[in-house]
Amino acid sequence: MPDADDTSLLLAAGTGDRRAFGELVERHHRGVVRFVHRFLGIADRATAEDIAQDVFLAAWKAAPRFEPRAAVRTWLLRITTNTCLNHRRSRRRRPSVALTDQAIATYEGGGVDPPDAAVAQEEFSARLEAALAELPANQRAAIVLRHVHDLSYAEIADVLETSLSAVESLLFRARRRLGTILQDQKDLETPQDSAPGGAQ
Amino acid sequence: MNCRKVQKLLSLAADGRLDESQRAAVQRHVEACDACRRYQTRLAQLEQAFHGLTVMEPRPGFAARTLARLPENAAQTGRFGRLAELLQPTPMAMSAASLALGILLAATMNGTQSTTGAENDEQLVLAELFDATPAESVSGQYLQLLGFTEEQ
Repeated sequence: MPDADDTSLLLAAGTGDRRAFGELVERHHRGVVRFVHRFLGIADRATAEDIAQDVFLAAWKAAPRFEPRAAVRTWLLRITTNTCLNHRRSRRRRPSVALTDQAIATYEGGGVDPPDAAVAQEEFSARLEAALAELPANQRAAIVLRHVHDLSYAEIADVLETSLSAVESLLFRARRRLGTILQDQKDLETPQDSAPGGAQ
Repeated sequence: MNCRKVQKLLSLAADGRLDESQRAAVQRHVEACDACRRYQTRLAQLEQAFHGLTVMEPRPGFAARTLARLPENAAQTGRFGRLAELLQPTPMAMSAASLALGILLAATMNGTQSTTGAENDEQLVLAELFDATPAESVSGQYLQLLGFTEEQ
Protein backbone atom coordinates (compact mmCIF):
# COMPACT_ATOMS: atom_id res chain seq x y z
CA MET A 1 0.00 0.00 0.00
CA PRO A 2 2.76 2.55 0.79
CA ASP A 3 4.25 1.85 -2.67
CA ALA A 4 1.01 2.55 -4.52
CA ASP A 5 0.78 5.85 -6.39
CA ASP A 6 -1.77 8.49 -5.43
CA THR A 7 -4.01 7.82 -8.42
CA SER A 8 -4.29 4.09 -7.68
CA LEU A 9 -5.05 4.84 -4.04
CA LEU A 10 -7.75 7.33 -4.92
CA LEU A 11 -9.35 4.99 -7.45
CA ALA A 12 -9.39 2.28 -4.78
CA ALA A 13 -10.85 4.74 -2.29
CA GLY A 14 -13.57 5.46 -4.84
CA THR A 15 -14.71 1.84 -4.53
CA GLY A 16 -14.88 2.13 -0.75
CA ASP A 17 -11.33 1.09 0.20
CA ARG A 18 -10.82 2.91 3.51
CA ARG A 19 -7.26 1.67 3.90
CA ALA A 20 -6.27 3.19 0.56
CA PHE A 21 -7.94 6.43 1.54
CA GLY A 22 -6.17 6.39 4.90
CA GLU A 23 -2.84 6.19 3.09
CA LEU A 24 -3.82 9.21 0.97
CA VAL A 25 -4.79 11.14 4.09
CA GLU A 26 -1.45 10.25 5.64
CA ARG A 27 0.39 11.53 2.56
CA HIS A 28 -1.49 14.77 2.03
CA HIS A 29 -2.87 15.96 5.36
CA ARG A 30 0.06 18.22 6.19
CA GLY A 31 -0.37 20.15 2.96
CA VAL A 32 -4.13 20.46 3.51
CA VAL A 33 -3.71 21.72 7.08
CA ARG A 34 -1.08 24.24 5.93
CA PHE A 35 -3.35 25.56 3.21
CA VAL A 36 -6.26 25.91 5.65
CA HIS A 37 -3.98 27.69 8.13
CA ARG A 38 -2.60 30.15 5.60
CA PHE A 39 -5.68 30.67 3.46
CA LEU A 40 -8.12 31.21 6.32
CA GLY A 41 -5.55 32.75 8.64
CA ILE A 42 -6.53 30.29 11.38
CA ALA A 43 -3.99 30.16 14.16
CA ASP A 44 -5.81 27.54 16.24
CA ARG A 45 -4.56 24.12 15.25
CA ALA A 46 -7.65 22.18 16.37
CA THR A 47 -9.90 24.39 14.25
CA ALA A 48 -7.61 24.09 11.21
CA GLU A 49 -7.60 20.30 11.66
CA ASP A 50 -11.40 20.21 11.87
CA ILE A 51 -11.65 22.01 8.54
CA ALA A 52 -8.96 19.77 7.06
CA GLN A 53 -11.05 16.78 8.12
CA ASP A 54 -14.03 18.31 6.33
CA VAL A 55 -11.82 18.46 3.23
CA PHE A 56 -11.06 14.75 3.43
CA LEU A 57 -14.71 13.97 4.12
CA ALA A 58 -15.60 15.81 0.90
CA ALA A 59 -12.77 14.01 -0.92
CA TRP A 60 -14.06 10.63 0.29
CA LYS A 61 -17.51 11.43 -1.07
CA ALA A 62 -16.09 12.75 -4.36
CA ALA A 63 -13.61 9.87 -4.83
CA PRO A 64 -15.98 7.71 -6.96
CA ARG A 65 -16.18 10.58 -9.46
CA PHE A 66 -12.41 11.15 -9.67
CA GLU A 67 -11.07 11.18 -13.23
CA PRO A 68 -7.61 9.58 -13.38
CA ARG A 69 -6.31 12.17 -15.85
CA ALA A 70 -6.29 14.77 -13.04
CA ALA A 71 -3.41 15.00 -10.57
CA VAL A 72 -4.46 13.87 -7.11
CA ARG A 73 -2.62 16.68 -5.35
CA THR A 74 -4.25 19.46 -7.33
CA TRP A 75 -7.63 17.67 -7.16
CA LEU A 76 -7.34 17.59 -3.40
CA LEU A 77 -6.19 21.21 -3.19
CA ARG A 78 -9.19 22.22 -5.30
CA ILE A 79 -11.48 20.52 -2.78
CA THR A 80 -9.49 22.23 -0.02
CA THR A 81 -9.93 25.65 -1.62
CA ASN A 82 -13.67 25.12 -2.09
CA THR A 83 -14.09 23.84 1.46
CA CYS A 84 -12.23 26.88 2.80
CA LEU A 85 -14.37 29.23 0.70
CA ASN A 86 -17.54 27.58 2.02
CA HIS A 87 -16.22 27.85 5.55
CA ARG A 88 -15.35 31.49 5.02
CA ARG A 89 -18.80 32.25 3.61
CA SER A 90 -20.49 30.55 6.53
CA ARG A 91 -18.41 32.48 9.02
CA ARG A 92 -18.90 35.78 7.18
CA ARG A 93 -15.41 36.56 8.26
CA ARG A 94 -13.63 39.87 7.74
CA PRO A 95 -14.38 41.32 4.31
CA SER A 96 -11.51 41.76 1.93
CA VAL A 97 -10.06 45.22 1.80
CA ALA A 98 -10.49 47.11 -1.44
CA LEU A 99 -7.44 49.26 -1.85
CA THR A 100 -7.83 52.52 -3.66
CA ASP A 101 -5.76 53.48 -6.66
CA GLN A 102 -4.31 56.20 -4.52
CA ALA A 103 -3.04 53.66 -2.01
CA ILE A 104 -1.43 51.66 -4.80
CA ALA A 105 0.10 54.82 -6.20
CA THR A 106 1.52 55.61 -2.76
CA TYR A 107 3.50 52.41 -2.86
CA GLU A 108 4.55 52.93 -6.47
CA GLY A 109 5.70 56.43 -5.71
CA GLY A 110 7.86 54.93 -3.00
CA GLY A 111 9.94 57.33 -1.00
CA VAL A 112 10.55 54.83 1.80
CA ASP A 113 13.77 52.89 1.90
CA PRO A 114 13.51 49.11 2.12
CA PRO A 115 13.94 47.94 5.71
CA ASP A 116 17.28 46.66 6.80
CA ALA A 117 17.07 42.99 5.85
CA ALA A 118 18.55 41.45 8.97
CA VAL A 119 16.53 43.48 11.48
CA ALA A 120 13.21 43.75 9.67
CA GLN A 121 12.71 40.27 8.23
CA GLU A 122 11.05 38.74 11.28
CA GLU A 123 8.75 41.71 11.75
CA PHE A 124 8.07 41.65 8.02
CA SER A 125 6.88 38.01 8.23
CA ALA A 126 4.47 38.88 11.04
CA ARG A 127 3.07 41.77 9.03
CA LEU A 128 2.82 39.53 5.98
CA GLU A 129 0.55 37.12 7.87
CA ALA A 130 -1.82 39.97 8.62
CA ALA A 131 -1.59 41.35 5.08
CA LEU A 132 -2.44 37.95 3.55
CA ALA A 133 -5.79 38.02 5.37
CA GLU A 134 -6.66 41.23 3.58
CA LEU A 135 -6.19 39.87 0.06
CA PRO A 136 -9.22 38.90 -2.02
CA ALA A 137 -9.79 35.15 -1.82
CA ASN A 138 -8.64 34.24 -5.33
CA GLN A 139 -5.41 36.25 -5.01
CA ARG A 140 -4.71 34.76 -1.58
CA ALA A 141 -5.30 31.24 -2.88
CA ALA A 142 -2.91 31.83 -5.79
CA ILE A 143 -0.15 33.30 -3.63
CA VAL A 144 -0.46 30.60 -0.95
CA LEU A 145 -0.38 27.85 -3.58
CA ARG A 146 2.70 29.45 -5.15
CA HIS A 147 4.71 30.33 -2.06
CA VAL A 148 3.57 27.84 0.58
CA HIS A 149 2.91 24.84 -1.64
CA ASP A 150 5.43 25.67 -4.36
CA LEU A 151 2.96 24.83 -7.13
CA SER A 152 3.74 25.69 -10.74
CA TYR A 153 1.55 28.13 -12.65
CA ALA A 154 -0.07 25.21 -14.48
CA GLU A 155 -0.89 23.47 -11.21
CA ILE A 156 -2.32 26.65 -9.70
CA ALA A 157 -4.46 27.08 -12.82
CA ASP A 158 -5.66 23.50 -12.36
CA VAL A 159 -6.54 24.01 -8.69
CA LEU A 160 -8.32 27.31 -9.28
CA GLU A 161 -9.84 26.08 -12.55
CA THR A 162 -8.59 29.06 -14.48
CA SER A 163 -6.10 29.93 -17.23
CA LEU A 164 -2.33 30.45 -17.04
CA SER A 165 -2.70 34.12 -17.90
CA ALA A 166 -5.25 34.50 -15.12
CA VAL A 167 -2.76 32.97 -12.68
CA GLU A 168 -0.07 35.42 -13.85
CA SER A 169 -2.47 38.26 -13.24
CA LEU A 170 -3.62 36.96 -9.83
CA LEU A 171 -0.04 36.60 -8.61
CA PHE A 172 0.97 40.01 -9.92
CA ARG A 173 -2.01 41.71 -8.26
CA ALA A 174 -1.52 39.74 -5.03
CA ARG A 175 2.14 40.79 -4.79
CA ARG A 176 1.31 44.35 -5.64
CA ARG A 177 -1.40 44.51 -2.98
CA LEU A 178 0.77 42.81 -0.39
CA GLY A 179 3.46 45.37 -1.10
CA THR A 180 0.96 48.17 -0.67
CA ILE A 181 -0.58 46.80 2.52
CA LEU A 182 2.81 46.16 4.06
CA GLN A 183 3.95 49.63 3.10
CA ASP A 184 0.78 51.20 4.52
CA GLN A 185 1.22 49.32 7.79
CA LYS A 186 4.78 50.57 8.00
CA ASP A 187 3.67 54.13 7.31
CA LEU A 188 1.06 53.84 10.09
CA GLU A 189 3.61 52.52 12.57
CA THR A 190 6.38 54.98 11.76
CA PRO A 191 4.94 58.18 13.34
CA GLN A 192 4.27 56.38 16.64
CA ASP A 193 7.71 54.78 16.61
CA SER A 194 9.61 57.88 15.71
CA ALA A 195 7.74 60.39 17.85
CA PRO A 196 6.64 58.79 21.12
CA GLY A 197 4.07 60.85 22.88
CA GLY A 198 3.93 63.23 19.96
CA ALA A 199 0.71 61.95 18.42
CA GLN A 200 -2.50 63.27 19.99
CA MET B 1 8.19 49.61 -21.37
CA ASN B 2 6.12 51.40 -18.75
CA CYS B 3 6.44 50.72 -15.01
CA ARG B 4 3.25 48.64 -14.75
CA LYS B 5 4.41 46.34 -17.53
CA VAL B 6 7.84 46.04 -15.95
CA GLN B 7 6.40 45.25 -12.53
CA LYS B 8 4.22 42.55 -14.03
CA LEU B 9 7.33 41.10 -15.69
CA LEU B 10 9.20 41.36 -12.38
CA SER B 11 6.48 39.19 -10.82
CA LEU B 12 7.01 36.61 -13.57
CA ALA B 13 10.78 36.90 -13.16
CA ALA B 14 10.41 36.09 -9.45
CA ASP B 15 8.94 32.76 -10.54
CA GLY B 16 11.57 32.16 -13.21
CA ARG B 17 9.17 32.65 -16.09
CA LEU B 18 11.15 35.14 -18.23
CA ASP B 19 13.60 34.27 -20.97
CA GLU B 20 17.04 35.83 -21.10
CA SER B 21 16.16 38.71 -23.42
CA GLN B 22 13.10 39.67 -21.37
CA ARG B 23 15.14 39.59 -18.18
CA ALA B 24 17.79 41.84 -19.72
CA ALA B 25 15.18 44.35 -20.91
CA VAL B 26 13.54 44.45 -17.48
CA GLN B 27 16.88 44.85 -15.76
CA ARG B 28 17.79 47.80 -17.99
CA HIS B 29 14.53 49.52 -17.00
CA VAL B 30 15.00 48.73 -13.30
CA GLU B 31 18.47 50.22 -13.24
CA ALA B 32 17.07 53.50 -14.50
CA CYS B 33 13.83 53.56 -12.46
CA ASP B 34 13.70 54.08 -8.67
CA ALA B 35 10.08 52.95 -8.31
CA CYS B 36 10.67 49.66 -10.13
CA ARG B 37 13.91 49.09 -8.24
CA ARG B 38 12.00 49.47 -4.96
CA TYR B 39 9.33 47.13 -6.30
CA GLN B 40 12.00 44.54 -7.15
CA THR B 41 13.44 44.84 -3.64
CA ARG B 42 9.96 44.46 -2.16
CA LEU B 43 9.37 41.27 -4.19
CA ALA B 44 12.62 39.81 -2.88
CA GLN B 45 11.57 40.67 0.67
CA LEU B 46 8.18 39.07 0.11
CA GLU B 47 9.86 35.90 -1.14
CA GLN B 48 12.07 35.79 1.96
CA ALA B 49 9.16 36.59 4.26
CA PHE B 50 7.17 33.65 2.90
CA HIS B 51 10.09 31.37 3.75
CA GLY B 52 10.07 32.82 7.26
CA LEU B 53 6.37 32.12 7.91
CA THR B 54 5.56 29.58 10.59
CA VAL B 55 4.35 26.20 9.34
CA MET B 56 1.41 24.59 11.11
CA GLU B 57 2.03 20.93 11.88
CA PRO B 58 -1.02 18.74 12.47
CA ARG B 59 -1.07 16.65 15.63
CA PRO B 60 -0.11 12.96 15.38
CA GLY B 61 -3.00 10.63 14.62
CA PHE B 62 -4.71 13.00 12.18
CA ALA B 63 -5.33 10.24 9.61
CA ALA B 64 -6.88 7.89 12.19
CA ARG B 65 -9.13 10.64 13.53
CA THR B 66 -10.21 11.52 10.00
CA LEU B 67 -10.99 7.91 9.05
CA ALA B 68 -13.14 7.62 12.18
CA ARG B 69 -15.28 10.48 10.85
CA LEU B 70 -15.88 8.94 7.41
CA PRO B 71 -19.34 7.56 6.71
CA GLU B 72 -19.33 3.81 6.13
CA ASN B 73 -21.06 3.73 2.77
CA ALA B 74 -20.40 7.05 1.05
CA ALA B 75 -17.92 5.71 -1.48
CA GLN B 76 -18.69 2.02 -1.40
CA THR B 77 -21.16 1.95 -4.25
CA GLY B 78 -18.79 3.50 -6.75
CA ARG B 79 -20.33 5.94 -9.21
CA PHE B 80 -23.79 5.26 -7.80
CA GLY B 81 -22.74 6.39 -4.34
CA ARG B 82 -24.54 9.71 -4.62
CA LEU B 83 -27.72 8.03 -5.84
CA ALA B 84 -27.56 5.55 -2.98
CA GLU B 85 -27.04 8.44 -0.60
CA LEU B 86 -30.13 10.19 -1.95
CA LEU B 87 -32.20 7.05 -1.60
CA GLN B 88 -31.20 6.57 2.03
CA PRO B 89 -34.38 6.95 4.11
CA THR B 90 -34.22 10.00 6.34
CA PRO B 91 -35.41 9.83 9.96
CA MET B 92 -38.39 12.07 9.07
CA ALA B 93 -39.43 9.82 6.18
CA MET B 94 -39.09 6.76 8.39
CA SER B 95 -41.29 8.37 11.06
CA ALA B 96 -43.92 9.36 8.50
CA ALA B 97 -43.94 5.87 7.03
CA SER B 98 -44.27 4.30 10.49
CA LEU B 99 -47.15 6.62 11.34
CA ALA B 100 -48.94 5.83 8.07
CA LEU B 101 -48.52 2.07 8.55
CA GLY B 102 -49.65 2.35 12.15
CA ILE B 103 -52.83 4.12 11.14
CA LEU B 104 -53.43 1.60 8.37
CA LEU B 105 -52.95 -1.36 10.70
CA ALA B 106 -55.28 0.13 13.27
CA ALA B 107 -57.89 0.70 10.59
CA THR B 108 -57.51 -2.86 9.29
CA MET B 109 -57.77 -4.40 12.75
CA ASN B 110 -60.92 -2.44 13.43
CA GLY B 111 -62.46 -4.25 10.48
CA THR B 112 -66.23 -3.83 10.42
CA GLN B 113 -66.35 -2.22 13.82
CA SER B 114 -68.01 1.09 13.99
CA THR B 115 -65.60 3.97 13.69
CA THR B 116 -65.59 7.39 15.16
CA GLY B 117 -65.58 10.54 13.11
CA ALA B 118 -61.88 11.11 13.90
CA GLU B 119 -60.96 7.62 12.71
CA ASN B 120 -62.93 8.17 9.51
CA ASP B 121 -60.97 11.36 8.96
CA GLU B 122 -57.66 9.54 9.48
CA GLN B 123 -58.61 6.85 7.00
CA LEU B 124 -59.79 9.44 4.53
CA VAL B 125 -56.48 11.29 4.78
CA LEU B 126 -54.60 8.05 4.34
CA ALA B 127 -56.69 7.03 1.35
CA GLU B 128 -56.14 10.41 -0.25
CA LEU B 129 -52.43 10.11 0.40
CA PHE B 130 -52.30 6.72 -1.33
CA ASP B 131 -54.54 7.84 -4.18
CA ALA B 132 -52.27 10.83 -4.74
CA THR B 133 -49.17 8.64 -5.01
CA PRO B 134 -48.34 8.17 -8.71
CA ALA B 135 -48.51 4.48 -9.57
CA GLU B 136 -45.35 4.70 -11.68
CA SER B 137 -43.30 6.14 -8.82
CA VAL B 138 -41.11 4.00 -6.55
CA SER B 139 -43.46 4.55 -3.62
CA GLY B 140 -46.45 3.83 -5.87
CA GLN B 141 -44.93 0.50 -6.90
CA TYR B 142 -44.22 -0.24 -3.27
CA LEU B 143 -47.82 0.43 -2.25
CA GLN B 144 -49.04 -1.81 -5.09
CA LEU B 145 -46.70 -4.54 -3.93
CA LEU B 146 -48.15 -4.33 -0.44
CA GLY B 147 -51.66 -4.37 -1.86
CA PHE B 148 -52.59 -0.93 -0.58
CA THR B 149 -53.40 0.33 -4.06
CA GLU B 150 -54.61 -1.40 -7.19
CA GLU B 151 -52.53 -2.03 -10.27
CA GLN B 152 -53.49 0.14 -13.22
